Amino acid sequence: MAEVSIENVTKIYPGGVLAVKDASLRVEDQEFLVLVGPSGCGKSTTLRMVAGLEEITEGIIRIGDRVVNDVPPKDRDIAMVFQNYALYPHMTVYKNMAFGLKLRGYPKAEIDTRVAEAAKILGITNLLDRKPKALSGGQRQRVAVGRAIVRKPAAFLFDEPLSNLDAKLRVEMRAELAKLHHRLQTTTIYVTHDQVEAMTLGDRIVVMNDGLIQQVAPPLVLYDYPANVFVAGFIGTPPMNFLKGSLVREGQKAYFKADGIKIKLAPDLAGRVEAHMGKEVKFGVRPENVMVKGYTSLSEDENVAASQVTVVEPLGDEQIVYLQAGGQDFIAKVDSHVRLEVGDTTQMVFDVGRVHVFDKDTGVNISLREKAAVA
Amino acid sequence: MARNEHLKDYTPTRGLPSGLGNKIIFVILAAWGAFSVMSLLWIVVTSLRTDQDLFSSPWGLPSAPQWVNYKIAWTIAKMGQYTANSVIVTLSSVFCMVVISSMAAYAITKTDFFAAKPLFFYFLAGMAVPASLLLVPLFMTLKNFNIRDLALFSVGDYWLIHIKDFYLIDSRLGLILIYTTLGIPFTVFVLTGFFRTLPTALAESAAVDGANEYTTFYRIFLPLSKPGLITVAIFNFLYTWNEYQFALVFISNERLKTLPVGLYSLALATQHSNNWTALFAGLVILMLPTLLIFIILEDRITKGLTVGAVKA
Repeated sequence: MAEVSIENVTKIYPGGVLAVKDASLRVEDQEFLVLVGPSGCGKSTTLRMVAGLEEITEGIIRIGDRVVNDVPPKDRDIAMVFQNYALYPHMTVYKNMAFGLKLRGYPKAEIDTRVAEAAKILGITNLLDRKPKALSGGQRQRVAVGRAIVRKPAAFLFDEPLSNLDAKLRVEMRAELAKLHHRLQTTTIYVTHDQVEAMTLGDRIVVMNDGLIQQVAPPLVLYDYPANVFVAGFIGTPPMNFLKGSLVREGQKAYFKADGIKIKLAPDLAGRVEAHMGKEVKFGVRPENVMVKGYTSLSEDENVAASQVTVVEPLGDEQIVYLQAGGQDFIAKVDSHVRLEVGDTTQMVFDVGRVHVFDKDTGVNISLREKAAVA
Repeated sequence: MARNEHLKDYTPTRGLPSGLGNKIIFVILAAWGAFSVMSLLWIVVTSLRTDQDLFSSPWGLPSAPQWVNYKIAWTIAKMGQYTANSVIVTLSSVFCMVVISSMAAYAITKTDFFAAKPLFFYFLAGMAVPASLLLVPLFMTLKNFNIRDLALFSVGDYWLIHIKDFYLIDSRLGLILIYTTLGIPFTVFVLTGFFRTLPTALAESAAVDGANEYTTFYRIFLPLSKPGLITVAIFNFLYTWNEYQFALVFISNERLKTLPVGLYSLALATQHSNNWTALFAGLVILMLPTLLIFIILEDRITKGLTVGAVKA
């Protein structure tokens, strides 16, 4: 068990491609940290630099108290689970799991015990004599995890381990990984592009984009207080709505105003965005915070916009409604018993207690309280 | 499985092919096949006849199998000695080629070696050089490489390494070195293609598991590349076993000759001694290993033609 710290790490690939820029992170002992972001954001590169599979262009990586910049992967005391499992096809499950221990010179009895123990935890005891090609995707994934846990390393590194599994199996394995972490309490860095995995597994989540860390925070803080437009749009399904318009002050009241939309800001929010009055901004509101008038107690006269329904997607318990107001599209997630038809014009209510205001140019969330922003 | 994905809609033709063009091709191939088989059979049959029989009726069958022809070829015509030389030279060359080339192919495809690409093209360039062009320079190089008496590392009065009369001309070692060198470009080329089909994540996984480069190569990639190694071994075996030109130029000592050269000596000798059927027995001895390899490993040889060409 150990802390992992990444200090001002930059990675530039030959040819000048900047993969990670000045990243700094501290993964606490026993923490489950998830790196999430779209393809090419630098999350896998960051993980591979921790593993020692990529050289670091600049910066320092520590595992425990030791700087590991020039330490080869085998001496870093880490175990890694790869996206495509990377099981050795010519070895049985037992040999796959025992390989690392054997290379490290563990006695046979100790190897047997550890493999048996890991196999029991993962429910693969009956598969030990099989070769990888005789296993299903889920079983291979378990073996890959088993190969990592037998080593009892200082840290686990997972590189999109569930992305090759079908949806149902992914949900199952997700729960198992959470259980496993609870049981083993080993420092874990987990890379995924799936925000649901990130939200459900992580103690904290690191959102990356274009090689830059956008925000590091616990899942709900990330959801409720996104630091910028990217994080706000990346976390949450369907994604947050962004409406273009400007902030205006009329007497004591402050409004977000766009074509056909005029929403009064809550007084504390208005106070926080005072410096941006008169400027163009992006107004962010999550689909579940857009409601149909008459079905919520939040409706007032000044947080409502007349909107036209363009698409309705019933999901059973709820429905996703695509709307248009003043030429701008947005989405609402509403209860399935609300009757809405395509072409209807309806009054949509914005929960002004849960909206965000972003700087139009920098994308920074200017409506955050300071303490939330640093969380 | 994935490797044969492109063949999934392919059904082998059974019986006579349809279409006039295909029928013509079939007839030509069948005639060619029959001609080849007939020639082989004639050689085998003739090797069991007497010289008188052969000249009185060239197409006849043996009245009684003359196994003595094989005995003559094997002992008197020294085919036994030639076979032993061929076995030593061929197996050693193929072994060296495969060991060196597999390491080179691994370094080119699976490591961070900075000169991997230039090295690959360097090997590729080797395939473009006609072997016969190398005869004279190689001969001069090997001729000049000889050690008459060299002693290294003495401890007190004792020499730990003492080399005496070490020559590469007229030596099996010289021939092995030449064959190995000539075979490496092709072998590296094929194995590079094969290694590229193996996932690099395996090397990374092994590195995290605690393996160094050598262990990764030896314990992971070498076992996985067995089909590729067998294929290149077969091709190199066939080439080296039948090689004539270099063996003729670089070996003149009767005791060190390989089968193809030995067979030629036998052919020259039979012109004067009228022992043609023994020559045919020698031919059978020469082609037997090749033929056996073709029969046993036919599937792998045809598959091997596309090794590395199709990405898994």
